[in-house]
Amino acid sequence: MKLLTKTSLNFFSAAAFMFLGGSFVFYYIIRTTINSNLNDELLTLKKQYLSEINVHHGSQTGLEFNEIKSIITPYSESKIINDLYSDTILFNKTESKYYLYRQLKFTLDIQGKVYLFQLFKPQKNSDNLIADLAITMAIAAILFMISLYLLNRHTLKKSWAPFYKTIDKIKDFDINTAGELTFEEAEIVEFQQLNKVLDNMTKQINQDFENLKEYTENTSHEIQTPLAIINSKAELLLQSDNLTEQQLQEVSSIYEATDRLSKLTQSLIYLAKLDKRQFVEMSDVDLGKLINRNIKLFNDYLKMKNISVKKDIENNIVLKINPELADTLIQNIIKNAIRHNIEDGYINIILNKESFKIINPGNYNTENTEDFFNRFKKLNPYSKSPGIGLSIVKRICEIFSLKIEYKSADKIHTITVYL
Amino acid sequence: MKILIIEDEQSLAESINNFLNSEGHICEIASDYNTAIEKITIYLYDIIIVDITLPDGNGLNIISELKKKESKSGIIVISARDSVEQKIEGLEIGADDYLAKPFHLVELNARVKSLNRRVNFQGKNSVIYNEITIIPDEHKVFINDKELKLTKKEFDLLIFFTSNRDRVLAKTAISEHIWGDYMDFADSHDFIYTHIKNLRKKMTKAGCKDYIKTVYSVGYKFSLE
Repeated sequence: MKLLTKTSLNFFSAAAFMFLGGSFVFYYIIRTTINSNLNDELLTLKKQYLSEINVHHGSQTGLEFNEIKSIITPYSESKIINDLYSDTILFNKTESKYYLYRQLKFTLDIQGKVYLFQLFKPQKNSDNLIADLAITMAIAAILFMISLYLLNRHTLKKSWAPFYKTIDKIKDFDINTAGELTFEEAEIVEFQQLNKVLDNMTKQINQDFENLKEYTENTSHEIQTPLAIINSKAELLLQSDNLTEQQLQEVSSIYEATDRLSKLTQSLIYLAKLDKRQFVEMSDVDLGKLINRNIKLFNDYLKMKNISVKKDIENNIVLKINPELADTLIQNIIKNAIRHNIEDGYINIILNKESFKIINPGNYNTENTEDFFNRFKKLNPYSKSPGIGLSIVKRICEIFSLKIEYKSADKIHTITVYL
Repeated sequence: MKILIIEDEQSLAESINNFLNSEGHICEIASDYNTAIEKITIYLYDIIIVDITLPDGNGLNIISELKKKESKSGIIVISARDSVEQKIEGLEIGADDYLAKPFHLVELNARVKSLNRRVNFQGKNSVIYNEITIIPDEHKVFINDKELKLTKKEFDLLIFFTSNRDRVLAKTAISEHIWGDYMDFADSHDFIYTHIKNLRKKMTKAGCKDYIKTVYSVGYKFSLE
């Protein structure tokens, strides 16, 4: 869950818990205080009775004091009751309601006779008092919690703002563009540290990436030179007059092998160099025109395998992309479709606003389509070409955030590039 | 022709030297920048083949020097294949052609011949092989003085053969010459076969002898014997 939500939830649970606990404690304290007061009043009346008895010797009428009702009855049991305080309910005949009373019970010996005194003080007022107090406290508590919550939320948002900004910056990081991550100055030390670490990390990543590319390029260059030597020597041998036919063929095999090797190396260099930094220029590329041009280029190849091309191309489908890479992309996809096609096969090309689709038959397996774009994984075992072309295609799509999909069913293969 | 080969890799320079020698050219080799500068200052060459990456200097500078001297030599740049920028730069500085390593010697030979024609024989020059007359600049072929209509690719093929007379042209060399980089038919040499078959048919139908010999499982050779 989000940070703000979590802290808010924590806050509310703690607050709710404390509020509930506090309420109980508060109620208990108030109740006790009020009871204490009531008890005092009852006791006062008792004292009055005592003094009355001492003075008047035997008055049996109830005394008036503060709404306290007195019920005095002769007491015949043996047990002496000393100041028993309790809460009772009495039925009010006039109003037909039950009311709560605080009661003081005690027994007194008046001139040899024992009487039971029951003094009742109504709690209606104190109840109202408690109710009012409770409501006021509740409102105050709720207001307090709300304002505390809002204050907390505001502070949180402000304090964490640099963190969220940092997250956004990281999201935008694209190694393909060698972007520099510049973070704003943060007040909070931890975020400063975070930003600094991230800054160093991205610089390091960029540096490593550059180094790796440079390394790949240099290695490949180094390979090209010995290849060129082998190639040239083999070619010279081919020109010899005094080689047998067999020997000529063997030299020819060497020659062809070095050719394949050098093409492979070049593709690898190309693949390694592919990133946005190299191909910065973007322009509006008309995909329809590009596709048509490439189909024309491959005319001979198509004729040789007797492949028919069906085009369903909408006009004015334009993509903002580096034109050179767009050409490479389309070329490789089409070349692939021709190369792995069957004799007398076909190629269907569909281009619209959503996607560029190419469909062709081919007699090879496609169980593991994850491998389809993997370097060197050749799904067509009959093909002598390394599977680099499609790796290049995938990479170009990655650079420009184009989703590419490969599906196959019944030996009919479809490549879709979503625009 | 007098050709200067500026290449620091010994074996490669020797291979080029051997090949061009057997074509009848006089070749010299310079293995580093300073030697190269020395040579071009003292001597005149018809064609100069420059490797851009030299140990002690940039081959492109040699080209600038040549242009400063208003040299009329044809200049071919050889370089590692992925430097498109270098290719453009080389051509802009004044090179006439660009060939990427590793290249086929027959390809270099064809470029040298073509450059020589451009540089030394501006205007119509024709090449004659028995009954075949070719006017390269006009893309015209005549068999016994009658024009033979060839497609562009067939014409390029014929020029490639005739530029490399009596040389064994491997199938890969041919396909790379005609279709270049974007067609790497690692697995379709039948393609070449079809095109050559068509060319042969056209030529023999026009009354020409079949000079294109098949070297079994290797390639083809254009031989006037």
